[in-house]
Amino acid sequence: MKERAKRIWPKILFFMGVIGPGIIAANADNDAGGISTYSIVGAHFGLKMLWVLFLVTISLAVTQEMGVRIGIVTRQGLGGVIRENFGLKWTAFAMITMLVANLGTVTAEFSGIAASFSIFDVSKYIVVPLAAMIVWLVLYKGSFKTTQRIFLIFSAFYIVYIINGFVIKPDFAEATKSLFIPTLEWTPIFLVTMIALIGTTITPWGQFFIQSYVVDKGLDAKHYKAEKLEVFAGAFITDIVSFFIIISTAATLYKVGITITDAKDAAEALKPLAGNFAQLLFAFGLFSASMLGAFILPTATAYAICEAFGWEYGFDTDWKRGKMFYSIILISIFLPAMLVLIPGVNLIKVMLLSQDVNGILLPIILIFVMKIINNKNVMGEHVNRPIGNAIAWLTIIGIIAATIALLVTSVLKIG
Amino acid sequence: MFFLSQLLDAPIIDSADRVVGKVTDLISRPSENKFPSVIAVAYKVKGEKEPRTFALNYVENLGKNEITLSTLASKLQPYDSRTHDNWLARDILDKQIVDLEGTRVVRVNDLRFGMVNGEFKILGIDVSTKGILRRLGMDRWPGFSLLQPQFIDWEKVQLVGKSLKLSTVSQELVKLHPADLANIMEDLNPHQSHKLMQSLDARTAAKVFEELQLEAKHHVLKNFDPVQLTGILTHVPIDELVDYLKTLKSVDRRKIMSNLSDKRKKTVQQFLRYENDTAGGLMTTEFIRATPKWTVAETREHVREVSETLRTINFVYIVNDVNELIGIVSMRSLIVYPPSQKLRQIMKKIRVHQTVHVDADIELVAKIMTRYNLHTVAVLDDHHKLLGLVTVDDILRHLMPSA
Repeated sequence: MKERAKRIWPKILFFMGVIGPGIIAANADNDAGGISTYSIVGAHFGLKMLWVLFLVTISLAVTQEMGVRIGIVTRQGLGGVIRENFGLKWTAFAMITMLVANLGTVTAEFSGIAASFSIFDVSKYIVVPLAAMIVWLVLYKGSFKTTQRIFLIFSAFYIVYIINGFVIKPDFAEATKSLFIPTLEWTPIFLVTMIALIGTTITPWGQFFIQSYVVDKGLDAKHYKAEKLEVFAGAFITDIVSFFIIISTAATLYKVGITITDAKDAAEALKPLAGNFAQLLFAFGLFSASMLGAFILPTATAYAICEAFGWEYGFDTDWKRGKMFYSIILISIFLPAMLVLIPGVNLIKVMLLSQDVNGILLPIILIFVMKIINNKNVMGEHVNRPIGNAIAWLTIIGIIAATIALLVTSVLKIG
Repeated sequence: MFFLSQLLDAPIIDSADRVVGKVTDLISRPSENKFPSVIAVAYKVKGEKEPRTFALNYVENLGKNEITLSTLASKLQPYDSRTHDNWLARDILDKQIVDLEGTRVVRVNDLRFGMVNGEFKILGIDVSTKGILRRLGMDRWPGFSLLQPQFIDWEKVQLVGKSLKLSTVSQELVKLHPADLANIMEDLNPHQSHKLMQSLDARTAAKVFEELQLEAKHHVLKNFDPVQLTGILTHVPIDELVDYLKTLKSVDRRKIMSNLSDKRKKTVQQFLRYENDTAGGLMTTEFIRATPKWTVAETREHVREVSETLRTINFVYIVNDVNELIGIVSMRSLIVYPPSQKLRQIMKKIRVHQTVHVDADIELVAKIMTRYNLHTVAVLDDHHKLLGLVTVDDILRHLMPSA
């Protein structure tokens, strides 16, 4: 038996290894911030925002593909490319932007961990420090890759949302209509949720992650087509899940007018499928998604910053050589964990607002990406086509417009 | 002493005190010299898109924040730039370099200049955090002077361009210990490390290959053409090669094996049957074998002939006609005893309990080596025939795979 297990595991792990960066990045997008944002989108606004999801899917595919292309051509991570093309000051600016966004996301992950255990009335003061310690110890002493894969397997839990979506027997005709017909409400709460929806799907870190992955795997021009396909598939798959989370919460919570204030509310959406196990199932899913993010984000942050500033990085360096690398990881684990421990913070709000931070900061990173990918000196013949440029710029302008609208409506106190 | 960051954007003033333009770059010719000279300046005239250049001999004074010329702007002749010239801001600043002394890959934060024998030279490459802060304009902040600068000499550096130009791989780099080279390769991206590997001779490449971590091995080998690959792989010891092959999918394994010589392929196939953490999986078959009839002189001669291809020659293993291990002779004995002595007379008899069976697991191997204070232990098959030996390095490597 032991002998067999020994042979099956490498196969599973190998299979997971083939699942490329596109799917990993996309899957990790559905993290704590993702699950809660999509749940809120459906619970508070029903199907009204599905059109945003539709557009965001296209933008996600396009922006991730650009990351792949820059990685293949420059053979450097985004941090390195920014450093070599914009000099140190712009690099510092880009890195601080990414750091703030990522710290926000890690805060969401720890909120997710706290929220999933709050379903069983376990105090966050126990769970969060413990989870932070585990994340640090596994990263420092253990194997990042194996852990990442384990949680990636766990996050297959999303399938339950898809099944759930069919069990509810929602009005698919209505849902399809909402995918293509825009509805906008000029209220701060609508705009906040909308920016979070964008910011949780397309993220600054996702842009860095995909590019580093391509470089680390040594992918070549000959892999480009396959990788492009994989990235598109990833964007599509992740948003199928998002779609079903939204219609699940829309059909259960929105219908009866329940707003989500804690994780227990969000778990209600799984009742049609799981009945009394809904809470357990939701807790498990939220927990593993949050842990996956809590492992990936500090690492991705440290990789990008160290690459840009020329500090040594990677888990094969020791503490002395990789001082900066490990310090950044430490800070990006424990600072967010401490934020979550502030008494009285609303975990659901933290998860939503952190995605807003990501959304609002995203245009800055995307503008760097656009400058790079349209630079002939860097990209040669692989510069963007007009269609890619149009979609990316529309995304950037859309987010900026939404942010301005949010500011204006907040000041005018509409709604 | 001043820095490239302080010169960039500095105004250029001609002999009539008029501003000619702003410095955009300094140009130096590549050299293995400790302190290469700056030979020209690139600058931008207001309203023009492309930078212009002039040779350094037009310069009267090079200061921290401005460059003054000895002629009028209209008299400046463009400098005749060659393809191999280094434009310091464009090609060096912010780029990755290999620090040969620290054996690591770092980024150039700044370049430090100074006058040496009347020539304007690059004194050092600043890779410190202090350099980052200076460029961010924080050099007036409290505490800045407390930071330690860190400069590297030009000759102690390997430039890593977009594709690590082969022609410029420095001798210093190739002279590094294979383990250090392997560390550097792991820091570089897969394409760069592949290029670096290509620039090494097959023997060094094989040694570096041995030291690389698994993932880096895959990257490095992926793009080699078959001829080069065969060249490298014939120098990799059998046990290392087999360990590597075991991690591959059968398709890739077959591809690599097709590049091996028939004899080597056969041995590899035999080895592939052994489990990783057994004596068979750990052992090497490359060692010195002798018969008891040989004299010390004959043996010495044999050692001299084959030693270059072997990793360890501390012992000569004595086998009888049917390849059963009967004893060992240490290098010390070979030196101490008279040339005419037969090995039979000077060999130390080996008992079976001081050897290991090919299927013995690593713990048992380590236990026997510890109990009898052995640096190498012989590996026997069911019929007590000598198959190979496990060295203490092999055990250590297995226990500490990432070191």
